[in-house]
Amino acid sequence: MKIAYCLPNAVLTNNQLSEIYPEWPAEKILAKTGITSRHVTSKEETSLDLAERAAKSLFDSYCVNVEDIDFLLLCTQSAEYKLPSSACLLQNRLGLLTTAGALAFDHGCSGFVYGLSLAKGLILGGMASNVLLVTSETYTKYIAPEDKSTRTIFGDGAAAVLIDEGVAAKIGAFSFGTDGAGSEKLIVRDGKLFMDGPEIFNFTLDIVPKTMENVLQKNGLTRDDIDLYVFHQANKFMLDTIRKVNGLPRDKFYVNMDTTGNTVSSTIPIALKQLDEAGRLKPGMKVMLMGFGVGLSWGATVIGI
Amino acid sequence: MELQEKLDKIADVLDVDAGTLTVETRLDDINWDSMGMLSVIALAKTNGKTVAGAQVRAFETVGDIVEAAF
Repeated sequence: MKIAYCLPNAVLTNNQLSEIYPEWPAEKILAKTGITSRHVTSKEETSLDLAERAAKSLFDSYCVNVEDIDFLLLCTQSAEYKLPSSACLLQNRLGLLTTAGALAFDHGCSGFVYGLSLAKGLILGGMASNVLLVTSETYTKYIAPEDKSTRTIFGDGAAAVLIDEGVAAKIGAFSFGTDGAGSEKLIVRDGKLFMDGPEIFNFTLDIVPKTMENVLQKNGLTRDDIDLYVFHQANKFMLDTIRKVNGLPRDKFYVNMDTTGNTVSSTIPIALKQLDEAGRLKPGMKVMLMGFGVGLSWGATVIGI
Repeated sequence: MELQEKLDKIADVLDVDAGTLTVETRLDDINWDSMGMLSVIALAKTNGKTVAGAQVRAFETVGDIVEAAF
C-alpha cells in the first residue's frame, strides 16, 4: 500500500507539558501514554493544509500521476467550512481532474477503516479505479489549555493512501459497530473537546475482543493466521491493557506513538508506514486493522500485504 | 489474595511507594487523577472485573479500590 503522512512542524514535548502541569512529570506522561512529543498545528494551519501536504508527499514519494486518481475520499472532523465539502477544496488544491469524484466523511478513530471499506466498495463496484484516501485531523485546536488529560494524548496529523485495484483485492471483509448512545463520552461542544477517559477506556476494552472475533470469523481466519495487529494508536497504556486482557503476543502487536501522539484517523496509516519503513511488512502477511473511539464508532478489517 | 498484596498492586499502578497505602488512605491525599483512574480500571480488568467510569470517579479511599478491583 502506498502511504505518506504529514505532521505539522510545531512540537509539544512532555517537558513543556510538565512545566505547565508540575504534578505530571515528563517521565510519568511517557510511561502512561507512550508519547514523548506530539505535533500541533499553528493557528493558521488547518486540517485541509495537512491533508494537502500528506497527499502531495504521497505523489512525490511514489511518482503518482494525479490524472490517474478518479476518486478522492477525505476523512476529517475538522472541516474547513460548514459548506462546501473539504473534499472539493482538496480536489482543487491537489489538481485532481474535475471528472474525479470527491467525498468527505466525518469519523474519528474508526475513520481509516471506514475509508478502506468505501474505497474497496467503489473499486469493486466499478465506480473507480484509483482512490486517494486522505485522513486529516487537528483535535488540538479543540483542546482547552487546562485539559491536561487530552492535551498529553492528542497530536495533529494527516495521512494519504492510494488504493488501486490490486490493493483493493487484498482488503478483506469488515466488521463495523456503532453506539450513538455513547456520543457524549467524547464530544466537541461549544468548540471544546470533552473526553470521559474512564468510559472510553471501558468501551474499548468491551468492544475490541468482540470485534476481533467477528472480523476473524468474517474472513475465515483464526488468531494464528494474523501476523500483525495494527490497532488505533490511542495511547500506550490503553493498547498495553488491550493486548494483555486479550492475550495477544507482544511481537505481533504494534505500539508506537512516541513522537506523533494520538492523531485520530491517521494513527493506523502512520503505523503501517512506520512498519513498512522498518521492513516489517512482508508479502503474504495478514494484518488486522482496528479503529475505535469517538461516535462511539468502531471498525476492523484484515489486509494482505 | 492477601490484603497487603492487593495494596501493593494498587501502590504499583498508582505510582506511590509500596507499603504506604492502607484501606483508609484517602485518594485526595495521593494525587488521585485521570491516569490513576485508568490504571485502576486496567487493574480490575486484568482481574476479570469491570469498573464503570461513574464508579471510579466516586471512589474516596484505597479501600474502595480494593473492593472493586479484585
